[in-house]
Amino acid sequence: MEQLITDLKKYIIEELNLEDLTPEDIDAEAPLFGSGLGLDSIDALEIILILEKYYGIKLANSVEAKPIFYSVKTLAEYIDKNRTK
Amino acid sequence: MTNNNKRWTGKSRGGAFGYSFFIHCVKIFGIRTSYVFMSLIIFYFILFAPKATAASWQYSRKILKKSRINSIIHVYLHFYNFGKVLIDKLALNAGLTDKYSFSFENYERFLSIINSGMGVVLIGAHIGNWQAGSSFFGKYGKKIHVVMFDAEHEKIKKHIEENIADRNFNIISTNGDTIEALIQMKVALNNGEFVCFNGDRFIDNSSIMEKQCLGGTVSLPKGPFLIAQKCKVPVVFYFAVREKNMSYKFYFYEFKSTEGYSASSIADGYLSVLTSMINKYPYQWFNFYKYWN
Repeated sequence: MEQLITDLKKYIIEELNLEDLTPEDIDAEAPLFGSGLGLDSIDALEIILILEKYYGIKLANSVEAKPIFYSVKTLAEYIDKNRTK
Repeated sequence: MTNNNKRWTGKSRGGAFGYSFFIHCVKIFGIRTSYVFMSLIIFYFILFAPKATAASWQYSRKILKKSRINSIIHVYLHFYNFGKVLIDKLALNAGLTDKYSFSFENYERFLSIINSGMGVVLIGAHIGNWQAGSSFFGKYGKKIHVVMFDAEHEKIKKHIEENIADRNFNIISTNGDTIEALIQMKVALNNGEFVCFNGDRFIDNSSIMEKQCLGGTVSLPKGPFLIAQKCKVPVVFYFAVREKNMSYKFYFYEFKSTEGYSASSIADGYLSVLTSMINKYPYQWFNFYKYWN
């Protein structure tokens, strides 16, 4: 799980162009949106695309998806259970 | 741009009494007689909706380059055409589809995109009456998700609930949780469904792009164009405009990239088509606020 969290942080930094951050700067349990990392809704789209590109996960239900996007940790837990690659 | 006069507020004018009056008018006297009532009532709106009148005047003088005399006529015809489209919406809601005729531009290409099985981003504008097509889209068996702000949400939702029997329509509201809305859009596109936006208005002025259009600068929402770019799905620009003799024409233009598939190039393609639509149907441009910066 630790490796998955680190990889995920790297992909987020890369795909969202957060070059001034390092994986260590991102608190895995902090909210991704609003008060935490401060991402916006278009960044949410980038994260959806990260799930598809790196882990083969295509979201099929928006209601279930919302809590998954709370933090890096919740995302990693979801990926761990649902990844196809 | 903090002045609301220069930005759409998310609310459209029109009270319950006005709607109720014209619904009864259409049912009792018919559509054409309702147009006559409307032609008189719009004097009230021209006088008592000064921001809308000023916006129409600015559009006529600065964008269409009309003289002062012609602009007076323009303002009247602009409001009158808006009124006619509102009556048409009510008539179509009431199931009077057979009173109108409908024609299509680029229909075959549109059908081939629909049949490709891919999700499609449809981008329209507040020109003509985009809702006129709502009774047709459901027939294609594709689910349509219309993205809109809450303030306009309720009226349209009512229209859709009353008008669309097959429930192939869904509204994605962006006023609440935008992340959830975005996930809904992506899920819809993944499922090969349509996601429809109006690309000409914005609420959140932190997420806009400025472009040139008809000799002036306009601000467009980034969202629809970015979503199309990121999701790499076909983009179709869609417009439904009123023509003579109780008819509507539906235009479908597939975006073809010549300079890459970026949000900016999609917006350029959109504005190119939108400009030609405004030139062709100048009285059906229904953004009654100071649209050009």
